[in-house]
Amino acid sequence: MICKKSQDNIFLTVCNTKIFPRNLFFYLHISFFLMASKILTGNMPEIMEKIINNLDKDFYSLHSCALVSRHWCTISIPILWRDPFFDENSEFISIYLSSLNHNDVLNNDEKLALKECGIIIDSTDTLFDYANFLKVLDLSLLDSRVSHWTDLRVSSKRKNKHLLTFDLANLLLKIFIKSGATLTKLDLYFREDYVEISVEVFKLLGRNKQFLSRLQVLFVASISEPFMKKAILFLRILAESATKIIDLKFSTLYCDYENYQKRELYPAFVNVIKSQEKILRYNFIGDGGLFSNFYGVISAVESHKKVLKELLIDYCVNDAEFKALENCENLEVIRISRCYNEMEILKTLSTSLCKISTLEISSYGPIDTTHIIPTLKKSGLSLQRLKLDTSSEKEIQSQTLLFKTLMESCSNLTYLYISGIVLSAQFLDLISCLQKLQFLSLCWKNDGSEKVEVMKTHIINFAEILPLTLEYLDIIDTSSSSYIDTLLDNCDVPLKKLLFNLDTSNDYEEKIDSLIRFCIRKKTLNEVYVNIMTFNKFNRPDLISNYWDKIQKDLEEYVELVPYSDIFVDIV
Amino acid sequence: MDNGTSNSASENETITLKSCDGIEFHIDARIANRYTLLNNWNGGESACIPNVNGKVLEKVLEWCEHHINDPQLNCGDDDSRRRNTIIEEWDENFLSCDQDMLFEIILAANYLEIKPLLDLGCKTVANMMKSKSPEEIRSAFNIDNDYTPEEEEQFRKENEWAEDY
Repeated sequence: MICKKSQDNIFLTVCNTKIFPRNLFFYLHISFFLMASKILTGNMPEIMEKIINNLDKDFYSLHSCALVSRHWCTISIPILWRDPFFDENSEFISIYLSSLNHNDVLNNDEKLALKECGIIIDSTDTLFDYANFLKVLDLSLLDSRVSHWTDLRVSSKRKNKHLLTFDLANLLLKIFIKSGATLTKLDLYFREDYVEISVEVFKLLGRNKQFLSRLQVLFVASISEPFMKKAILFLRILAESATKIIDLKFSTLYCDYENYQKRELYPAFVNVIKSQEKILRYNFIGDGGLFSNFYGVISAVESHKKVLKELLIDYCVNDAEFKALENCENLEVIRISRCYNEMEILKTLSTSLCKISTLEISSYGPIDTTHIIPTLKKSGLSLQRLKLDTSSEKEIQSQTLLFKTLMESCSNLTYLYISGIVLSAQFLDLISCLQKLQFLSLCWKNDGSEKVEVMKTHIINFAEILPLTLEYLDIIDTSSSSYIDTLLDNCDVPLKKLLFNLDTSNDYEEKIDSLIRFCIRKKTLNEVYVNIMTFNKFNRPDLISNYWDKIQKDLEEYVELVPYSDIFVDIV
Repeated sequence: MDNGTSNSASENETITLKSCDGIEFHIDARIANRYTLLNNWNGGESACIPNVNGKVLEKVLEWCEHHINDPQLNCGDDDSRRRNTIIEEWDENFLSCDQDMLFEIILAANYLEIKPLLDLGCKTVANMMKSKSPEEIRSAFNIDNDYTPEEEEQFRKENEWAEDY
């Protein structure tokens, strides 16, 4: 018998582990079935869960797994319902709402909203208390899915549809909180374009601290002024309920209420930071250069600096607060992007003896590598990923010293993204030295002064020294794309992914032919992205689309042409 | 350990591991040093590995040897960021063995606390389930359907949204 609404015991009473052979085939494979059955029929649920966890967000496969048997169901269902809002099909919302019964206290607006959407409250139990499985909640997705779900049920002419969305989204929040669900990941949005949290939900959150008590990953998106009070209230509840956050991302936005932020928002956020036991990853996204002070939201991380592993800072102007983060002993990942003075921040963070595995600097201005060299030397073989990206017209400064340091100290690099460099002999020496390199993105400067034959020689040399470990080559932002045919004809690397520019007015056939020759010769390339440059006066999308179709047709037998966003780089 | 790029044992040092059926393997001591349970030899020159037979231990050690220079992942508090079903080519070939061996490797990796190999084995099994119907999965792993028709119908009704994904 199925024990309704009791996930712990459901199906266990009749879990059937038939491992007895039914024909000779099974006799011959008995040991496999014994081994497999040990894992797959219930003796080792922790391994089974580990297997099924790999299908996270693959809703079809999880659904199939849950239908295999009762034991598989008990493992798969909590994973299937962990983050249903990720699915664009919003029909799961009906199941949450149909789990309501007559004992649930609903306000009049909620009753009317349910009635209008055709949800009838009765006493029929669902197989599971699905709401209890919720682990991931993104308020923007909650808004979007509820809107979609109501759109399918009410007339498009209905007035104030946003009120219906408000009632139903808040009703769902109440269902989740009351079910005893414990979130592990939460994305908060306090803005006009997303659903507003009701007063009732705030009251429930205050009384049911378990809902936020196991939160590990929190993102607070930029908050707009009318929602400031509610955001502050939520942060206060968070500071009282959550202590396990390890990954914290906070985005701020310039507006004219700096005093409000100074007096209430930032202190509330500082309290959340200080209430946590150990924050491992901290990502602060500033306002693009308009604020001059963060009123403690960076220096508050000082209380976690002994355990902090990743620090990601975007768009910050003031570097004074970073002084509090000197001597972070366990820092492994530093990403500083588009800040006012990246080098000063890096200098402060590099005071400790920590060994960095990932260093990313993206700057509007020129990058002077003399400030980076000490961190590179200190990190040595621990450094695996390096990104130096400058939007400046100027080249990266002290390149020779940078390449020499990387060759001598950081030969374990597996990922290198570098822009603003020249294709020098020292750079070629560096690339030939990186024998573990798997991902390479390049943007080198070429003012066009080099003769074509000289450039071709450089490209041939470059192609010949690429390490055999290289799988991913991105030269979209570099003039070397003009020589892609020369590069590919001289490259013996088993590339899997290639990204380059294609000037349709310049030797189109020759370049596509070289790509086909490479595919036939190496047989490793499986994804290509081509950035089509028509140099048409109006850069007409239909022309680009026509070229895309033509390239796709030309390459169809050899390699898949994919959009840029579909090229997945797994470098975590 | 220095971020996985070096081990305290030197390259020339070896130790002997003995499987439960008495087969001996002489391995680079850095392998034993890297994994807690293999390291239970307490600095001696040999260790016995109960519960893992020679055939399976040989495969497990082959994997350890190939990955000896891999960096160690120590952001263990949250592995959801690494959760995907992408497997490197060498590992894919390595686990292209019969299913019997695959499950034995998973159990051995679990027993010996070799987390990356355990993760890899689990990913491989998950890939065998990917995009398959319940019937195909049952057939692949010889699992009996123990749902009653009524339960199955109710389950399908409540989870229909996922089937259409």
